[in-house]
This record gives sequence, C-alpha cells and structure tokens, in this order.
Amino acid sequence: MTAPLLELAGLTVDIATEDGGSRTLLDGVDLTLAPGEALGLVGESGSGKSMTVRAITRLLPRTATAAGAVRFEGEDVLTMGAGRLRGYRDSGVGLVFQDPRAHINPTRKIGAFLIEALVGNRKVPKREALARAAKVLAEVGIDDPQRRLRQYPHEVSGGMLQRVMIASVLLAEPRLILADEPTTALDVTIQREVVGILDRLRRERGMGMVFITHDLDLALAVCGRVAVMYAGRIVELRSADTLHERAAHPYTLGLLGSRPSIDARVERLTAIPGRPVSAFESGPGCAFAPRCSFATAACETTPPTLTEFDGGLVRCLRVEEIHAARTEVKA
Amino acid sequence: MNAVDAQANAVEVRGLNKFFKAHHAVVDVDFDVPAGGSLGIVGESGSGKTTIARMLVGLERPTSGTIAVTGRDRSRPARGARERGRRARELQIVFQDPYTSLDPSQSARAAIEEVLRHHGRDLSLTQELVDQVGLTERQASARPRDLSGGQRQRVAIARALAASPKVLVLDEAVSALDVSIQAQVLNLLADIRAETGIAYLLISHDLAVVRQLCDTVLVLRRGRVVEQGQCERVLDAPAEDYTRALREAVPVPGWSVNA
Repeated sequence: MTAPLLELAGLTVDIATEDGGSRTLLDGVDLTLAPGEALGLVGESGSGKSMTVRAITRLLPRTATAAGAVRFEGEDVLTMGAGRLRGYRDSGVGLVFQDPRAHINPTRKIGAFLIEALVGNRKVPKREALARAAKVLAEVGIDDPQRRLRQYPHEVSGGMLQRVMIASVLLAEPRLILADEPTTALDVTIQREVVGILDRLRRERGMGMVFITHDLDLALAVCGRVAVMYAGRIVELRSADTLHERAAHPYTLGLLGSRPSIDARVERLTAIPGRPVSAFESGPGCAFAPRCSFATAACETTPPTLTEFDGGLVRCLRVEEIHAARTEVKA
Repeated sequence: MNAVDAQANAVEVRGLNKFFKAHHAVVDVDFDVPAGGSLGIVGESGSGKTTIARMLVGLERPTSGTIAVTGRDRSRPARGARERGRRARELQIVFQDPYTSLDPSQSARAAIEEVLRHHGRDLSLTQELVDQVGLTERQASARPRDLSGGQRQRVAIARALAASPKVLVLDEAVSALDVSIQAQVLNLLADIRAETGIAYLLISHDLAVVRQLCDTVLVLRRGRVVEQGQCERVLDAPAEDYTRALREAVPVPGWSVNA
C-alpha cells in the first residue's frame, strides 16, 4: 500500500464561545486519502464538512483549537512551522471555493490574479508566467485565453470565473485539491463541465482531491469513495459505486430517501424529521438518534463507533439489526 | 368551488414580453396553470424565470402581453388599495430566502396575524395556519433569527396562505434548504395543495423538485419557451435538445462526469 497523501487522525475542532465555554464542531474525524484519489465529503448544515477543509489547510477561525493530527505526506500540518506551512499552502494544497467572485480580487485583471503567486513567490519572469497562465486557461476549456487574461472578473460569467479559479490552483501544481462546493452556485449544465474539468485534470496530473458537497449523487459521480458526515463526525464511508445499494446508516438511507428523483414522482418523500444539528448540540449517545426511526434507549446514551460493515465503515449501534430487517422486507 | 371557477385557469399568460432597455428578458411567453394545478418553470441563470414571477406578482410591469389570474387581468399596475388587496388574495409569493423576506422583529404568529387583519380575516385562523405548516408553539412565538432555514420557510408559507390565495408562486422556495429539510417542505406543499386546491407556480432550476411537486413543466431558455407539457412527457421523452441537455446534466446513479 502506498503512503497516504493526506491523513486525518482523530481530528477534533473546538471553538471558544463568548461566555468562556467551548463548542465542538468536529469530533474525532479519521480519514486517509491516497495520492491521486478523489474522496467526497457529504453532509448538511453543521455536519463539519467545511470545517474539515479549513482544518486541513489550517485556516481555522482565531478562536478555534484543533486536536488530533492532519498529516500531509507524513508531516503534521497542525504543528508545522510558519515556513513549512507557507510552502504547503503554496504548492502542496490548492483550494477551490463555492463563490469565485468572493475569492478573486475584482479590481485586478484575470491575468494579474493568475500570475501573482508565480511572480511573487516563485520569481518566475512575468512574460513566462503569463504564457503559463494562458496555457492553463486553455486546459480548463477557456477559448481565447489571451483575451481573458486582459479582462476583469466582472466581465466574465460565474462558470467562467470558476474555471479561472481552478486554473489558478493548477498553476501552483499542488498534489492535493480541496474543492468546497465548487459547483453549487453554477447552473447544472455548467456544473457538469466544471466537475468534468476537475475530474480530467485530477486524473491527468495524479492529484488527490477532497470534494465537499451537499449533493450525494454528485459526490458519487465525481469520487471513488464518499464519507457521509453528520454533527461533526463521519457516520458512513463507502466506495461510491456501492453506496446506493449498500448504504447502511439510517442517516445515509434518509438522505437517499429525501432527495426527489428526476425519473419518477413518489407519493411522499421519506423526509427525516427534525433538523440537522452540530456536534455541540448532540447528546452523549448517537447524534442522529433524535431524528432516527430506528433509535432505542441505548442509542441516546451510548456513542457508536465507526466500524466495518458490509464493505464500508458505519457508525451505528443497530446497523446489523437494521440491515437484517431491511433485507427481509426486500426479500 | 362552483362550475365556472373549476373551468377557469388559475393563471393565463399570453404573449408576455419584457425588455430591460435593449435586453429582451422574456420573449413571447404563453402558459396556463389550471385551477388547482401545478406548473414548474425551469431554466438556468438568465432564462427569465424570476422576471416572469416578478411580473405575476406585480413587481415588474410587462412590456407587452397579458397576465390573468383567476380570470382577472393584471397586466397593468393596480389602481387603489382595493384592487391591490384583491390581487393579493388571488396570488401570493414565497421567495428563496426567508431571511430577507421576513420582518426580523416579528414573530411567526404576528406575521400571520398582520396578513389576516389586512385582509379582514378572522384572527382565530392563526392557529390553524401555524398547525397547517407544522410549526410548534415555541417556533410560532420565535423571531426569524431564532428559527432554522426550514422553519423560516414554513413561516413564509403560512404568511402567504393567510391571504387565502388561489395561486402560490414559489420562487426557488426550497432551493436553499438542506436535503432532509427540503423533503419535509416538499411533502408539506403537496399536502397543502391536496387539502386546499391551491394552484402552484414553482420557479426552479431543479428538475427533480419540479417532477416531485408539479403536474406540468415549462422549460425556459434566454427568455423563450423551449418546450412545455406534462412532466412525464417532457422529462422522460424531451422533444428538444436543450431539455435533454438539462436533464442529462443532473447527477444520478451511473452518471458520468465526462459527457
């Protein structure tokens, strides 16, 4: 087995509150990502998926503290010195956010934005940096890159700007891409193009990718493995091609049943009652228990662990019983 | 409902056009929403779907064409409070973001009562509406900032229903909600239509949501109608390339990212 590109071990993030207390946002996240692998993180509000990305890049809020380890190529990011951290953020990891307009300086031309890091950090001559930028714009499917380099962000569409952001990440040639809801603000036809570009480039360049989304089906299409998060913990982790058939955690099953289908109307969607909670709002037992139709008294008090089940990992005390009952109903 | 009402369409739009300066945002759009029916208008950014919703509510004035709701024309701005009140009782709208469309200082109950009072309806209906949208007592007394997105959207729906409209325009009303909450609100909307016979006009970019909630669908691109018809027909056997492309862009099991 090859050494992992990224490894999260017992990653826990607490945030200080104004009254001097603290709130847990991430609670013991374990994950590994092989070089070149694509892993999906799926969850709703408060699940901790975006906080996981922030912890991986050590871009946590000032009042937050992280425990556990985030190892990138074996080195712990959480304890790196300033120089190593700069190098890691410059060329180790690249970030693609949901809203490119909020992350690209609107007062500078796209060309200036793209070559900033090359010229400033790596002392690449400006002319060469611009040539590289044009080449990468072409790689992300932008026609007439020379003209685009001279345009301002407001002169191009959201889908185009998201490609510019992906191009800016590629220029740094990172080994890991973190894509946080990269297509959520885009139209579906543009979404398909953008995830297609991300997927192709990841394969061509052998980059690892962590793909964060609320859309389970999108994650399954883009990633090899998918982790479903709830209340700051991973509740199920499976290979994407078996998740639809083998989903075993009641929350994963609930997510699958909640989403309307484009192929058929159902009489009623099997909605999960209540609302998603954050880690600090959950009780001593399973965080999903208050919304779970299978929950027993034990679920309220005993925290389940992430254990192997049916080829994946599931965090549920009753997973075997639930699976048996569901198999019986199907048969 | 008497026989005449049953035959009248809830909404009839004919030859609708809207220009913003030189930009032709809505181009010769025709559609009907039958009484008690449910039409989904789908399209991407810039398709004109929100402009159509805004013209229906009276927030934009059509450049040409007619809009009739329950048989009454509303192509021109309302003259006087009476006419505005009547139009409000014909059609209400729920927006995508209940954070910006609800008064932050008003509890759910107060928001509903305000509308009931305005339309001269019995204030005792408040409790009925609170129950109908599934808000608890505590939530009904809370201000918007203390409610979750799904709960706020329930308040917005209850507030719209307080005018007892014949048509509810849902402008991306479930788009910003978490998946598990979206399912609750979609079920709620289906129940309300079954109970009250209200007609829906759902503006959405999400074909699966349209299929779940609507009988008919209209596909819009750059202000023009690409095709329209029953959801099953349009979504299962699209006649137009654009509809097919929209459909195929939706990730489903077995979907490949490289078209």
